[in-house]
Amino acid sequence: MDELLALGLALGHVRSAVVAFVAAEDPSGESLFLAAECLDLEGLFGDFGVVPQQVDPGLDAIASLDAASNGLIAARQVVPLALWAALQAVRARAAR
Amino acid sequence: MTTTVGMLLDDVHTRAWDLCAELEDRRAENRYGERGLEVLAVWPRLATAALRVLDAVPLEPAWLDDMGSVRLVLGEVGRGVLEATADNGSAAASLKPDPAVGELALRLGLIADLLVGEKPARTDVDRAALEGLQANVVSIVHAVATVSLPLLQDRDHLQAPRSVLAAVKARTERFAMIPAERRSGRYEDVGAVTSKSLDAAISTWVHATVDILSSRRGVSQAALQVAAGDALILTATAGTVCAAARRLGLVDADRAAVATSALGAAHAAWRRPAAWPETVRLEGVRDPEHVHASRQLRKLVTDNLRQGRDWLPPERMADRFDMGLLLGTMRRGVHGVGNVALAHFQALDTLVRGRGRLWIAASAVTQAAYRGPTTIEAALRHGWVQMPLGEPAGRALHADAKHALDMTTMALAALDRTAASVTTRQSDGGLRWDRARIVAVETTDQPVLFETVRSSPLAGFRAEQRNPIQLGGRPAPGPRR
Repeated sequence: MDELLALGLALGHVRSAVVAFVAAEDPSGESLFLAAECLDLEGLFGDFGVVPQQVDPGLDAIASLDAASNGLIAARQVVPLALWAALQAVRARAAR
Repeated sequence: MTTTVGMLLDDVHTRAWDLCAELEDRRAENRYGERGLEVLAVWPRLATAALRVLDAVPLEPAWLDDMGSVRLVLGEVGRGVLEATADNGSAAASLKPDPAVGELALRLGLIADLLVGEKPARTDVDRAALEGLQANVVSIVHAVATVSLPLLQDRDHLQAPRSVLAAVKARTERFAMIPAERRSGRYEDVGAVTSKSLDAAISTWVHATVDILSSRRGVSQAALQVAAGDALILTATAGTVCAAARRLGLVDADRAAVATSALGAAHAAWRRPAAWPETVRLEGVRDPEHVHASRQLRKLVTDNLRQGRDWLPPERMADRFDMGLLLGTMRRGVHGVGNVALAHFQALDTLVRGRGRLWIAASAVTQAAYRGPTTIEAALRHGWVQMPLGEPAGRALHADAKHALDMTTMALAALDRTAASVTTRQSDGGLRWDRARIVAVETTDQPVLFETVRSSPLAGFRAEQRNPIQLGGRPAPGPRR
């Protein structure tokens, strides 16, 4: 797969995760903080000039983050370490 | 701890009350000494400080402001009319100003300093809060005038200053009589921000967010989404704190219920702006200051009010914080969200109505007129095109931002109404102690103001009067010509 396309798909999945976290009815408020971290992550993608690709909106937040992680693995040669580390940190917090 | 206007008012009212009690005791023992002159010497400072507070927050429309007579007399006292009218003014000026009254003036000055930068009171809620604040300040002036007058009695050379202070007392009495429960409001929450506090984080976040959203070049999708996401978190935080205060019985239950519900509606309204449609894009570089302010805000909320993956239980919250102060912080926070909501709406209004900034997925263009070869080609390669004017996706963004602004405005008004103080003690004399505030009791022996102008009918007034015409009957015979 084209690495830039893979990065764009990863960003698309992060955007999907934001939508899912924001829409979640979560009295604990944890999903709000996860959404905010995903927005930080989106900003990081933006800083690297990644253009988002549209993705299947049917996935839930955790699955979207997993898909984004797979996208970064596919584009491993061009993925900045900061992006990879930030995504894994969000995934770890979401999976707690 | 953050010093707020409310805390300073508590302090200044307590000090004024103690001053009244002390002078009352001295009067009983008939040992005033030179105290009258010392108090007189500090009056200009007190009047100037009180006037600064009255002028700190403008009332709009201005014609609703009925403090004109108080302002006038305070202005004169501040300019030294008391010394000028005293027969031996130089003697009064050479005396050391009374330290107790000086402390009152100092605190009123601090209150005025804290209120610098507050926007004019335009809404009903803000106007009511401002009237309460002004009543609290004028009550102090009234109380000091009330106890100053006996100090100046039996001194012939102080007759004129006594008259001026009688005028101060008379003009301030109406405002000093306003019941304490009608005086509380959001201005009591205005505070000096200490670094590394939640207040400081909120304040920094508001400035950084409004700055970036107000910048035509700097605004980006990331900035808009992060602003909305932070507004989501702050409205949720305020709702949680308000509900906790209600559960602990620290606020009026009905008002807190209304505020919690309004905050829930505002929170829901921010979801769509935070999510942002996947088919719309706005490029731009992140502002490091905004990013840092947003992270700092989330960190402070998490450190202070969260435990693990959940909010702190109300009891733990009350153990850790003074809930009254925390609720004040939340009120300031929601006002900050209000400012951000306005900047967010204005930014989107400019973007949606303007050209060339927003991008839309080519496959999502709905208007047939814009589905030309370029758009079709872009759609085939899942590309983006500039958003044409009038696209439903753009209109939806605009409507969502407007809805978030409206709901936030309603929420902050509802939360402001929870600003209420606690009842305390009571006393006698011309002043009453109620809910930690001095309240004047109506007096019937008010002296006639020395400057009262009794208007007499103008010359020719009667000559101009005409007999009323009786309707429905025969007209009375008119004057002979």
